[in-house]
Amino acid sequence: MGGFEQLLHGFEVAATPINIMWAFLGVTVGTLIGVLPGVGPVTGIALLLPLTFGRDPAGALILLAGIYYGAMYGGSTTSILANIPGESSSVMTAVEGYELSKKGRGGVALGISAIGSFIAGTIGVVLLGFFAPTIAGLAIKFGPPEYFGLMMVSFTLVAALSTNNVIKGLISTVIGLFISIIGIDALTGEQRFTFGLMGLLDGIDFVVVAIGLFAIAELFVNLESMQTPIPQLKAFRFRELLPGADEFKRCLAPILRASGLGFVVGVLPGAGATIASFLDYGMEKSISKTPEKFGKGHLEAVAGVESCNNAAAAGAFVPLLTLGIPGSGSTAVLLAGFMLLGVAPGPTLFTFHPDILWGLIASMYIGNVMLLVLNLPLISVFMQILRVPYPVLSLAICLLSVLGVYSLNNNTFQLWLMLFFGILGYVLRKLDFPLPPMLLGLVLGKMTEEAFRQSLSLSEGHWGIFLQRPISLALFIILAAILAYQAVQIVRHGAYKVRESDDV
Amino acid sequence: MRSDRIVAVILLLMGVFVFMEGLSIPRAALQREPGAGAFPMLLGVLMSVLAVALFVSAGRKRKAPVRPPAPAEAVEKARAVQEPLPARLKRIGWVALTLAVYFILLKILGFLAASVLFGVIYLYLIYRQRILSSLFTAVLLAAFGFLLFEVLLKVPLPEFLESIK
Repeated sequence: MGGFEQLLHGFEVAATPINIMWAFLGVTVGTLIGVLPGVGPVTGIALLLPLTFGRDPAGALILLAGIYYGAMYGGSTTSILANIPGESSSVMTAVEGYELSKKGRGGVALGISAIGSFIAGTIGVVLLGFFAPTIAGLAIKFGPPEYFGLMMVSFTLVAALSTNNVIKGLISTVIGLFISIIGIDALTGEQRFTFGLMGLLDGIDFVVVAIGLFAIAELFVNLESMQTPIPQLKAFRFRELLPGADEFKRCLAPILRASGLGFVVGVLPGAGATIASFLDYGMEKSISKTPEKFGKGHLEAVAGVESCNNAAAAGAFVPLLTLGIPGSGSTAVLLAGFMLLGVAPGPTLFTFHPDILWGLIASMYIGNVMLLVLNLPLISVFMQILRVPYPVLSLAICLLSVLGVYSLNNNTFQLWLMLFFGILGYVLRKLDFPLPPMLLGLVLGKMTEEAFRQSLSLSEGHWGIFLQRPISLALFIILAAILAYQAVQIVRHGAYKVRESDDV
Repeated sequence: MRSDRIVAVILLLMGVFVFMEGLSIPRAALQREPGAGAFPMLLGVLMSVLAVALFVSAGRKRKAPVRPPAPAEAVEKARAVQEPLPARLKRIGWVALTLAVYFILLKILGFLAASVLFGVIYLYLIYRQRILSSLFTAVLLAAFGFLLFEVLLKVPLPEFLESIK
């Protein structure tokens, strides 16, 4: 079957009433998560992962993916209207959009964000459908040494690009890898780092760590400031949200440019939506004939940035689906979702689960239409969620965390682990350690160890195998180059760099 | 930063421990398999190297981390009541302790009663909400959680006196 026929088949899967319902539920919850400050996509997806256990994998993945890209859409609302970005990828939207709001143009800014996000999201999904099979075809030739090299490069890129201190990013990754090896070794039956605790024999569940590090640690951080409810915001009539024909024409080129840039940046591990949105903002400002308007409420900038982060969200699916390697915290949680549902992403996904894969891709088209329908007329409805006082919201998150973690295997030991990771997450955040790389290390830990051990088995213990095969050698040269560059930067400028992102 | 140096020392100790533990795991009977200890040893080495790098870089004079304008943080900071660190940590400590007691009570009182009790303490004592609204919210949220997980998703939640049964 060609790509187009497969996509059509995907639509048959995605367009069943139950899967449309999952997509609708996903994008709605995702939009809510994007709207709510303090509940990011990682927390949102991790909290809802337990709800998908035992469900049909296609439907469950459509739900999780919907939450992920729905959050990208929703992030714009509070950024524009209240100067509070729900996601870090919406920071630049807040800079420009809030200025527009102050001028009474908040409605149009919301409208153009939704339209731009729709166009970019759709272009991103088209590109995903086009590129993913090609890359998967290449990846099928990868053996264990190549996979090990690829994972090392990904870890280093994520640590280098998504944090402001590469050493701390790498430490976070290594701690994640260490957590992944706790428990009984599947190959030899050896117990590793269980400290005599029965509850650790099966290892530490990804969901427990993700909920602890993100949901519980976030509660602790917010307890410091005793966050109060967000002020009431003005509601909009539908007509106020639509940009004029002239405005739309001016915004179309930035939207199209952002779609391409966002997709490419999204594909890179570690870059993701936040870096994409900053790059797009810089690019638009440099090519604009009126750069002085930037920072004072520029509609084209809002259109570009919001389009860019949605295209990046689609781009991030390329390494996830084709190589099984996520590039950020939120795609790491998605990967955990895939694994929990018994669907291993990677090149074999195209062979063994084409229904699920193409159903998921097709559902993204449908989801994009739903998001447009949701975002424009229902913005006022979503704003109501901001009326919920933070203490009530945080209690709800707390109970949902407890229920989600308890339901993993119905014992309270997991809850203690969740609390431990909550405290650890809080301490690490205070010490400026990034948490997404830890999730990445944890979710890819088993695969990394497997690739490492299989490689050494193939070579009968000779480490030279990583440098003897051309693709693997190239990957290790790239790794060495990244590390050397980072080392030079640290020697010259110190360990910290200007922080560009906390991409999750 | 001093805190970075303390973390570096802890990480170095952890790295040595992980390496030694990896070393003590016997190699598999299969000669070609590197064994369950190989990867922990690699991680132990990486931890130690990174710990040294963190320690050395912490001593260097460096620019403070600069961030691009993050309006959310600015708003949050402006809104936050700036209290001294011990007061803030005390509040977090109380919530962690309340959560711990809640986990113990789950097996004694069952999910519904323990959750309502936790919810009331959380809202009334920590967030200083009114007692009646705290009670109402806690009952509502606990009942919603119970319906969603126990009734709809068929997850058996802890029952009254489960730990004694």
